[in-house]
Amino acid sequence: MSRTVFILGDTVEAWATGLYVRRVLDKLVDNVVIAPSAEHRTSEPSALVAPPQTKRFFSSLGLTEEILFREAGASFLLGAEIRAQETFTLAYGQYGVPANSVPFHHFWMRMMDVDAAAPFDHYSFGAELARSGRFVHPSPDPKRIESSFDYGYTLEGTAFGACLRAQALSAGVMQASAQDIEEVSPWLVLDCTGRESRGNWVSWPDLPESFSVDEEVSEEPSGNLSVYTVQRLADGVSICLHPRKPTVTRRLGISAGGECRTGRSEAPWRGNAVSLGGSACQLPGLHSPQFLLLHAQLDLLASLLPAENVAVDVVAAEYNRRATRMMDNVADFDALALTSLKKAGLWRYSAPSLARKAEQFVSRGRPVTYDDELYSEQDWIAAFIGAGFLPERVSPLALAAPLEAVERNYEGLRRAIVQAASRLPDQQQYLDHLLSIQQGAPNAV
Amino acid sequence: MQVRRIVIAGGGTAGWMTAAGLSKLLGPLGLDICLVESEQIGTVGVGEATLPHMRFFNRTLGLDERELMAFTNATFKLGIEFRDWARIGDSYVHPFGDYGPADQEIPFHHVWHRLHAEGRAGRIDDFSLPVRMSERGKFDFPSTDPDNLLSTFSYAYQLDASLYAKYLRRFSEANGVRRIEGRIMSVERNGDSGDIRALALESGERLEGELFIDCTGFRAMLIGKEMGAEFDDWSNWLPCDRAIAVACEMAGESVAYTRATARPAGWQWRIPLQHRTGNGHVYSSDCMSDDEAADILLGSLEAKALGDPKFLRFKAGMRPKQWVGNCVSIGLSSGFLEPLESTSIYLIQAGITALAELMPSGGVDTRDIEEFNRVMQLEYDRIRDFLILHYHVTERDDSDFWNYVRTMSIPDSLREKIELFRSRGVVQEYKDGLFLHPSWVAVYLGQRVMPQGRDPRADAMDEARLNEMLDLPAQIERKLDPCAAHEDAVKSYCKPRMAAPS
Repeated sequence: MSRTVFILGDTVEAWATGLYVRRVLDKLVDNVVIAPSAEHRTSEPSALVAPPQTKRFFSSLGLTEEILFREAGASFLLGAEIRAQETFTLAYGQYGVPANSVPFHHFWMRMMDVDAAAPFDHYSFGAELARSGRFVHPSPDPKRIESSFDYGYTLEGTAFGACLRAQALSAGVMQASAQDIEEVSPWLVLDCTGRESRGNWVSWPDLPESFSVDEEVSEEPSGNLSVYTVQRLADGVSICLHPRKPTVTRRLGISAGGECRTGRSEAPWRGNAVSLGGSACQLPGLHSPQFLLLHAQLDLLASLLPAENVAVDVVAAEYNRRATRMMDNVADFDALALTSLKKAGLWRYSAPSLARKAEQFVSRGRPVTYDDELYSEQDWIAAFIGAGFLPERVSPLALAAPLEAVERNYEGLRRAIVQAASRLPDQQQYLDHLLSIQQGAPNAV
Repeated sequence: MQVRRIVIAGGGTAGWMTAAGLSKLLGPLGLDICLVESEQIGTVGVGEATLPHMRFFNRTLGLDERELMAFTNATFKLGIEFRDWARIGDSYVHPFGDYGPADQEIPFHHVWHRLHAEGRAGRIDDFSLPVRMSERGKFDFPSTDPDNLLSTFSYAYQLDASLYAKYLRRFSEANGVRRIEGRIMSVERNGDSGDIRALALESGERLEGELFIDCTGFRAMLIGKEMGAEFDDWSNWLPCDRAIAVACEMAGESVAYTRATARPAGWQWRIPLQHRTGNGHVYSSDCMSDDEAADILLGSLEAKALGDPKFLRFKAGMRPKQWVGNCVSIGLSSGFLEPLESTSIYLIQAGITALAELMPSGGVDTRDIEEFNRVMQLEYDRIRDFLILHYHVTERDDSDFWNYVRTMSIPDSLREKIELFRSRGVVQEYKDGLFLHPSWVAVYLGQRVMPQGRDPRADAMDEARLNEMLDLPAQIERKLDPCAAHEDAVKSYCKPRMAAPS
């Protein structure tokens, strides 16, 4: 029997999946067929966030930075700017530096207690770069402050979709109609329609029942390319994204009755069909975990592909166990992000996983993470502090250090961050430089 | 109440590791740490064989490895050899390291599965540098260069645990820990909170504190008898409940691995130190008498016994609440999972690390207690499954003991793991837990759990890459050729501290 993989949907996720199967699993499948149809068509976002973890995904797809700039309107992304009662930069990378194995946020809390601390995100080089709109690639030298951050991309939705589609077709992915699918028995069906899959749908207690994309406006480029901004509205959330062009503002309605039912599939792999991306999981997604999840789901799927003489049920059960845990962990992060836009620190969570995380963080600044987390401990620490959750107690070891020395050390770090960032180019300049190199005419930066 | 005074009840390995760890990690807090122990009460001296994690503990303390190894008469340990576990006559090594090359696209055992099925590869052991290093009786230190084959392993020690405790006592006392000689006669409790207020000693002295750490071993004087923490009995899954230990003179060269040989009602350990060999027989009293067990042990010693055999009784299991009120249990008082994979010292270390991370900055907080208990439960659960695996996946049917463990019901968490590996060669992964991917592969394959299928990506691997893999055993042998013999490596690195003690 020929091994034909059918991918349902005409979405960015579908084309990314097709390209992944051809690039990563090429010798294992005979045909990769994408079957878009009017029924499966969903409206694609005008801009997309690709957090740092997805760089490996793009690498496995054969999408170099050069291709992303040339064909997908990419800009460098350093994190999110959360506009709540106060503005907080949730940057990719490190905040402060630990001392004597004690994480930085304990020392920061200690300085806070005596009103001697700058805002938490002022101790992050990535956040400083993000705020100032500057950029360079991270230094490979771990001793340099310029090595302490990471970056992702903001992509122009339509261009990226076209790029993926062209790359996928060039790599051998074929197109078919929905009718074709009914005539051939596929080995594997990957549902990338972006629509809620059939079967039981599990909701999350700390997220709204539904949401909707109420409006998406594309305008002439404006604002800081290095961050996307998230802001609370009366009945939803506004997210502003900055690919090189245009600037895209999306308004999410998160009240009841939205067109998307928040939740995830109870069992995304059933029989020979696997739901991926939006088909497996619908989240308001303030931090746009779309590619983060898709990458993790595809890597997991690749590691559990059905083998000869093996009952599919066994690998499907393992896939479902791990994939659902990943989605639940991401949902927790999203719930925390929503909290950050509300009254800080007064939230009580119902999901035991998030409740424990919040309790431990508030109790003593301890980041709790579980199996199959897609966000790091550092991400969680910054997200909690950004959301206004401050530890009631700090590590006794942080208390043992002389306060004066603590203040002096971290004030030195903060100044070093500002100075190092001030020497770097504006992102637009840096991008112009890179693009000119690509076009064979380098400019000085 | 602000924690200022910590009282550790009991010395031994757990007590002195705790004293050393807390005095180092929490030194800047200026806590008053005292340890009470009695020379009249013997210690179990757990864990002559250790795991690589111990090196990180020692490094945190800033211990000098050469000095420590010399003091404890230690040898290097690259893994554990299991004999007769799946079938009588079988042998495999659970190495402290990987199978396959340093860079792997997919877990190597899938590639090996294909090559083996095609008749192109023999034992998977030949693709593991630490296994071959063990088998060839050699040793070298791991490389920090990730492209170097010598980066694919780690090592631990085989040491005299009672000397390790002495070494740590010296370290702890130099670090400000007060040692008090005495027997604990009673425990004073706070009537309102139920917390421990003080330990009353035979001498009449009272030891007051805000935090009490129970390192009294199986007696669990504080956590069990006083605080009433219940014990989850896991002996239905791990039925061995007795051990006999005896050292013997060295016979032949010392090797860099511990041996665990299956016996009719349990198994026997052999741990070569610099100056003697530690031996022990672990067995189920339901299936064998003490005399019979002693006969098996003494009858199989390689050389003259040094002293009389020491008999131990234990029950496999753990206390789900290892921290109750202001009392924390560390070591055997918190649980014991039998010595099969040398996990006792690791569990002590895990308890110390968790306690240091959760050390109250003011009074004891219930949230710290719950987190400590959650972390330790996870550690015990995952080690438990790994240990049960050794017994359960056997073909042996030559005794009541093996018939029982082969056919017993096992935890669902383990059943799922075995089913997944048996069908598709997938090792269920987790973030927190002691034994990782290569350890599970070693025991599954070593005990003849051959997957029915494999990762299809192994079948798609091109011939050039496969040939690189097939060349690996030769590369390993070439890498090992210039390595020193283990015994020479130990001698040149650290000479023994003393003649063989009685």
